[in-house]
Amino acid sequence: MLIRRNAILVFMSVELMLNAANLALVAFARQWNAVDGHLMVFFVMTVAAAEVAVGLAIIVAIYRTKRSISIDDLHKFEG
Amino acid sequence: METSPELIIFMVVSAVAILTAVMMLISDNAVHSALFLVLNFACVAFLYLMLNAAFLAMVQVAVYAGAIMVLFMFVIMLLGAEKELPETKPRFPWLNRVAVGLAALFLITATVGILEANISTTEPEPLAPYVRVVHADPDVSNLDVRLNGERIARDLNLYGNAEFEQLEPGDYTITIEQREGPLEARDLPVSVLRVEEPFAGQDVVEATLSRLEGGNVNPPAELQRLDPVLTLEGNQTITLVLAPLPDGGVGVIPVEENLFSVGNDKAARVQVVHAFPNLGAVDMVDITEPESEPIIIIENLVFGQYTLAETRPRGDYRYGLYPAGDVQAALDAAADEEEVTPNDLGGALFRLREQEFERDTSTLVIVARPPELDNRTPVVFSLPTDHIPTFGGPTSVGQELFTTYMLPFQVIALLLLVAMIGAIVMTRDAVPRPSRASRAAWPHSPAIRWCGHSPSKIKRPATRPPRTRPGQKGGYHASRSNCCTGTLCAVERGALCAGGAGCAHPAQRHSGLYVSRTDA
Repeated sequence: MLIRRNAILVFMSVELMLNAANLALVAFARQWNAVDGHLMVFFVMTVAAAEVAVGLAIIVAIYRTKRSISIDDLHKFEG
Repeated sequence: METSPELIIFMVVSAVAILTAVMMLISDNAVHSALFLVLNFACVAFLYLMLNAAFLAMVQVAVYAGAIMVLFMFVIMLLGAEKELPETKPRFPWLNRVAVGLAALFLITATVGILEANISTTEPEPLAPYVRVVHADPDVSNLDVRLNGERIARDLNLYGNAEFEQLEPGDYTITIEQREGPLEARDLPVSVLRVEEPFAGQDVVEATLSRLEGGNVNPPAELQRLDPVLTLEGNQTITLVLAPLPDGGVGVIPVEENLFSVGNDKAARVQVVHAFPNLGAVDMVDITEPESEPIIIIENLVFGQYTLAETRPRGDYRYGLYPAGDVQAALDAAADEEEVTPNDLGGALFRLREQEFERDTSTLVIVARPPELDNRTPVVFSLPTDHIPTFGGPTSVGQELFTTYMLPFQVIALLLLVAMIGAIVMTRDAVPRPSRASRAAWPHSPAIRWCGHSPSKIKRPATRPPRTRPGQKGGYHASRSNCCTGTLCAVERGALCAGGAGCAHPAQRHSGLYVSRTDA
């Protein structure tokens, strides 16, 4: 029941995982008094923003050709 | 563990974060999922704030909860993809179990790792201590200072200072070398000076005053000369002030400074250290406003002693330094606009030049001996130091970003640029473009005429026409445009519908007008 076929939901779950990693990085940065962890989180955030922009563009492009964003339908790319 | 308000807030916020994450995963409607994710991001931003990461909390709200989630909502609604897709036969039935297994494995590893690492859950690790050296010993020329053999000051000039060095906490033996030649150095006898009682009482003042009159060069009795061992603890900032000793050795006054931000834009920190051995106890009087009563801010500062960091409003100050207890001299000096005789020991010893204490800095004022032995006018110089930026604030993140992480920062910026261009190129190719023939013919070519009636009278078809698929005849155009009967329509239909993706008639984009070419 927890299997999601909606590509957008899969994307949002990836964002959730990135946030979990970010939270761990910030917590350890506080523990060891080093700002380096914050920088890492900052980079992850910027890359995530770029990834979302490109990823959603891909999803829209796929939707225009296949009329579906189910990840099960994506196993073959036919024009 | 006792229950603090912080702990309760943390538990509530993290519970909400976990709840919203689970709700995001199990809700059927994608719009609801996105809204739960926004709430989750807000909780994470709050947790960042609790972890002293103010800058990241700001970025989290602006970038994630703002930009990214708006993009998600936009795409969900654009594609009408809010409903979960119907159940189909999964292509990888084993994927579910593998994912659960991996998640469990990760949780176990993380738990074991945190328990084994023995991390304190309440107190963060202390900051590595900072040390610097200030040379205020006129008997010695340029010198090197080593702590446990590690050089922290090199070729230091008189009244000069070295930069702060970060060292590990622990005991350090101080050695001072005087340069004798390009390759030779001589070790000097060193002792750490410590005044047992930081702010001495009235009897000490009298004692030092009598010494002053008698020209006694011995350090006050309260001063302890210890072995040259410096103990550094976490979070400490130590400035080693080198002062002359009558027997030719070098005295080291370890001044503990506070470089952590005052947290107030209008405040500065001031500290004074007395490093003039044959000068008695001194008072420091604020004579910024001559009319008003002089404010004694430091009383009975003896050799080897330093004041604790004191927060004062930022701005321009004028300070006078006088023999301890002689308030009348201070009063006279304040009233008298004339320059005070420097060597007049009965009156003002020295009037500090006007000095600005800038915001968010610590200024260490050093009262040092002049190079000439018979000169009793102290050399007073000050070292303003910027405060360490607050951990996790924009300043500290920015400092690190533009120094240590400049190259990765540039790489990320390039990556972002490429991603932006990639997104533009991708979406540009996805939009179907009308063929060259139809673009040339549209809309003002003389070969085109409007179909009989004015645009406002044309009615849109009530029902949406069926879409045409590539290779499919008829459908869209035939059912829709009854005036489009010329040969052009067939040509256009063929040209546009062959693309397959949109199959949009150019007329559709122009308020439902249909065209036909008469001469075709």
